[in-house]
Amino acid sequence: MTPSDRSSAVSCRGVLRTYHLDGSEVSALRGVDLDLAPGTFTALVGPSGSGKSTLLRLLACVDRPDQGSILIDGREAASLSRRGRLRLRRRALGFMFQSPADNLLEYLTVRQHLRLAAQLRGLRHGTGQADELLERLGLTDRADHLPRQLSGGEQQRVGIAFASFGPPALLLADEPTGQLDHGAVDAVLDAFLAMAEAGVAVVAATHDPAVARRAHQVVRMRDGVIEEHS
Amino acid sequence: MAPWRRGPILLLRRGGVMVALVAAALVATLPAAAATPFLSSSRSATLHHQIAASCQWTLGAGATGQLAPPGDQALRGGSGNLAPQDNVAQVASRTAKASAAARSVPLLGSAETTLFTAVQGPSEVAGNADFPVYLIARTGAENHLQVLDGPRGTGVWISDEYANFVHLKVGDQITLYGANKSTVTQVDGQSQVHFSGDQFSTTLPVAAVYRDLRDLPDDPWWCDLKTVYDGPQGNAATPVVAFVDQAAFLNAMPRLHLSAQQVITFPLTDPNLNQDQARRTVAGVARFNKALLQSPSSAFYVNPNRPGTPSSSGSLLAQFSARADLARRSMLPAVVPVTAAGVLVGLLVVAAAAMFWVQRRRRELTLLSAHGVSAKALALKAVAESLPALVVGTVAGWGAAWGLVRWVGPDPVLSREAAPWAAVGAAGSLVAAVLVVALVAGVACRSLTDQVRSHHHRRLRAVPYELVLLAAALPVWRALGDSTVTGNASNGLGTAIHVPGRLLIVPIMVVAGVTILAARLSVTYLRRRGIRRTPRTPAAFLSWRRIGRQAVMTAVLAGATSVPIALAIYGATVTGSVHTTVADEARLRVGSDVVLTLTHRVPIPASLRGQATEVLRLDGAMIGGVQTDLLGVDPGSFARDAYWDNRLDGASLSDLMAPIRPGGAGGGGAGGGGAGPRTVVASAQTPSGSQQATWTGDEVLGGNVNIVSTNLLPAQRTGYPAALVPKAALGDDTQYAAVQLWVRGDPVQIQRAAKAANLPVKEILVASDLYSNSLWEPLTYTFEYLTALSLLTGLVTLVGLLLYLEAQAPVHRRAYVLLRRMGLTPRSHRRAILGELALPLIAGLIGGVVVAGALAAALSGNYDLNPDQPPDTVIAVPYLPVGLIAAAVVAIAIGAASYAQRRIGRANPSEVLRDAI
Repeated sequence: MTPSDRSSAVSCRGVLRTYHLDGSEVSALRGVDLDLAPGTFTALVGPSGSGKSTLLRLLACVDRPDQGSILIDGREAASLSRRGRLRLRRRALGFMFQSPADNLLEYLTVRQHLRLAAQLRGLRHGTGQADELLERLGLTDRADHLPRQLSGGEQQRVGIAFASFGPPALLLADEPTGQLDHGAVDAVLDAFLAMAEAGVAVVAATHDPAVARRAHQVVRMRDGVIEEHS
Repeated sequence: MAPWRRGPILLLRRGGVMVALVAAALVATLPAAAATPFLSSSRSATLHHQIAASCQWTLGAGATGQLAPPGDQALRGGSGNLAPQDNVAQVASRTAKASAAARSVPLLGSAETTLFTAVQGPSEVAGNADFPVYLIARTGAENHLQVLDGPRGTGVWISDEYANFVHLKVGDQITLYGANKSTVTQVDGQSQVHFSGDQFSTTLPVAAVYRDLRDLPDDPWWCDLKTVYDGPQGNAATPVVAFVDQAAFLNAMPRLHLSAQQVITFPLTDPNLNQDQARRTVAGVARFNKALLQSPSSAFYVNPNRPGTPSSSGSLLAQFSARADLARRSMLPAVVPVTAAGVLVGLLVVAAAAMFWVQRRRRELTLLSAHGVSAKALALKAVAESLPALVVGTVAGWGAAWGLVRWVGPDPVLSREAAPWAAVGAAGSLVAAVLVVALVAGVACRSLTDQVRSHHHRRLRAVPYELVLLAAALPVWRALGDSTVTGNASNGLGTAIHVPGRLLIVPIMVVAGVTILAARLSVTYLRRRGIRRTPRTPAAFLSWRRIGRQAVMTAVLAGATSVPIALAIYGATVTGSVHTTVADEARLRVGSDVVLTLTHRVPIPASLRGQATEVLRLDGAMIGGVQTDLLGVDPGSFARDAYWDNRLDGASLSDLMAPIRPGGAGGGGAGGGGAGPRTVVASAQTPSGSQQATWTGDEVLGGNVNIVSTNLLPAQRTGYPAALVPKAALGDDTQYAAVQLWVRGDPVQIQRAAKAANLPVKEILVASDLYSNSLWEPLTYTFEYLTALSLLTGLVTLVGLLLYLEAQAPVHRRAYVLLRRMGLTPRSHRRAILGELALPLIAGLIGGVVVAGALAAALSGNYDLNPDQPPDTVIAVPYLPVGLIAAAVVAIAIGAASYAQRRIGRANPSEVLRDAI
């Protein structure tokens, strides 16, 4: 069964998350309900402090909600142990940071990144998939280059390839185009769409209208709740 | 996988982290690897000091045999069967047997034979006819004599003093006299010896005149004969030592009808041997003894005091070797906790270096963690990357430990087992360092991406575990006891003094506990309240904000500064106080730096004038029914030349002596200045007021004395009070008193001056000898080890500061570039860094000094290792170390701030702003 066979890659119900800072309470998420289907590219937008990053962290299984349910790839993430969340992250999730440099290891070539990704996912024979992924993302010519030999956009696409090798059920990206120029943004968004086409549920938290324009769906957040889902 | 497989190479890209890990491993390894070599070095020093202080001929193997006089027939006065060749054969036979037995003993030289007998010199020397002449034949003697005339042919070598005394010169004949001639008759079946009054004699030419050995510096080669040529101390008579060669000696013996001794000695060839070699030699000497005992009973004497050994086989090496082991054993209670503390501090630095590694690899670790790599796997990566640096640091630490011990340790000679044990210590510290790196990296990596709240973990972190350390201090103190003595006085080896382990272990616990607690409270304060303060100047504002933001880092730096400083200052206080107390006890017991007991009263020589005072000592006087040592002193110079420290009694010795000074309050007879009972200043055990004074049953000091009490007096022996009177007050009893010169100054120079002035010295007592011998040596070496630890702690602080600066460098660089654009001057920024560094360092310094001072004050009653001997503990405040440490801290803060600012000032703004770390 591939992720695209499922009716929902991610399902959140009544998710609450409150932070305690210096004695005061900040409600970051106040009852979020969200369903993401496999093969969709979702843009998570909203002003700063609206709860985008918190939701992204909960979906990435690096944080746990105070209340509510988060079903990822058929597993209830909220009740998983540290080890269970780690396993889920390794098997079913991909994560991208804002800075291209943060998504790559400076001493590995593009192909070595994909080999490492295959090893982390526990795939013994990932060569064919790596070639296919490189071709899909337009990186075949750059396969033996180190990150410092790549442009920012290329680095980010390698980051997408690294994160979505497997492929995972869910690819999460935090401001993936924040540090890219206009041309590079298009290439990255093409890559996200390509991954969605491959059945991955892609979620990108962003302030970039270009991302929202090209996403399959836009989830707009404000004050810890989903204001609009279109 | 590549990130793990390439680990060892990846660290090369991070020079700062690599240097930090190498330095941290070095710091952790240094004490672990130094402990065994240090103990071995101390043991070697104890062994070598004993060897150096003893006669070389007593260290190897040896045996004694007798050369018998001719048989009865010869003794009866006839010509007899005088057969010199018999003695020659016997000497050769014994030497061969002993040499064969000694061949298998390591480090023994070839046989040195000494033939020795006492004859009588020329009878025409009036009054000295019966004075013995020691006739000696020793292999190689001619090489150790300074010949003044001759040698000419074979014959007797006599000293210049004897030659002048008997008016002989080279070429003259000297007649030596042996046994009395006698006849034996049988009366009623019993033998009766009748002496004729004549003596057997032989006449030999004087072949050489040598300089009297007493007029030359002591040649160690003659050490076993020193009592022969020196005679008893204070004896003015001239001892006579005459040397002949072996052939002449053996030829003369039958003619003199005397027996002689043959001493065969196999000297130790290497006095700088190590303990392993000493043990092998001792075992070999035991085999040598056994082999000789199996020889025909007539060949060698058997030592009556040590059954089973030949008479001259009393090698002291076995005793010295065992005593060296005892000294080593006595140091363990101090060295082990000090080493453990050093390793612990080193491992803390390793932990800081591991945190530094995590910080510098954060981007990669976060990425891997985000992709599902566990903290354990990341810890493994940390180990893979840091292992080469840790190995290099460990090897460097091992080398440094080995080199430092050999270079500045008590003795450069180390036993063979020191190397493997040092390697074990180094390997142990490497394993511990690897575990610490794995643990710290693993724990730090758990929170890189996983932000799941864990109230449980937070609660666990909030528990003040350091209170356990503080609470355990008291039971540990009680459990460890206050023993200061290792060994058994009754087993012949004696004892060695050591610092009680609890004086080191408990303070380490307290320092660690208090520092962690203070750091915890500081973090809480800085996070909750400190950050709200807003200093006015930009530099103060910036440094205060940085301190508040990095509360944990600041507290760790302050703690890392405080712990070593507290331990170093406490160690210096204990060291100084124990040493001062021991030295004061020795000087108080002896009376001054050096006390020369003379055979009779002589004027103080010019070379000692101004530093010596005459004391007439009557031990065993009874004053008020209490046995008291009565000291007749010169009130004018005694207070100057006797040892005294105002801390002993709160008053100067001069003030204490006021009652017996002429015109003093006590009055009474000579020295007291008036009529009535004589005033005596006596230590407290003597009853005060008017008391009766006697010595050997007769009245002294006029019978009645008026006692003025004081707690202590110089030369006060354990259990006996002392009493001071002007020496004139002893009157006729002066003739019974022991005459002493109490001298302040360098003992070596004093003894040299006494010899040059030809003082009739009967006995020399040197205060420093009382605590510098092998009884106290372990104590001295422990002090040295503590000093070395202090140096190590300084290194730790420096490494910690460098780690901190390296860790902060990117933040400082970014901030500086931004703040420069906002108008901050380089000077202000340097001040800000100085404030950021100086505050934790100075807080650590103050905290360390306060904790050390409190500990030293609380435990001061325990620094007197010999409580039976006054005075009690004399606290030595380590002003110089504290001053040096404070100066070093300030210098380091200023230097580090300047260095950091210079590095930051070179930053390229465009590169910094692109830096995405």
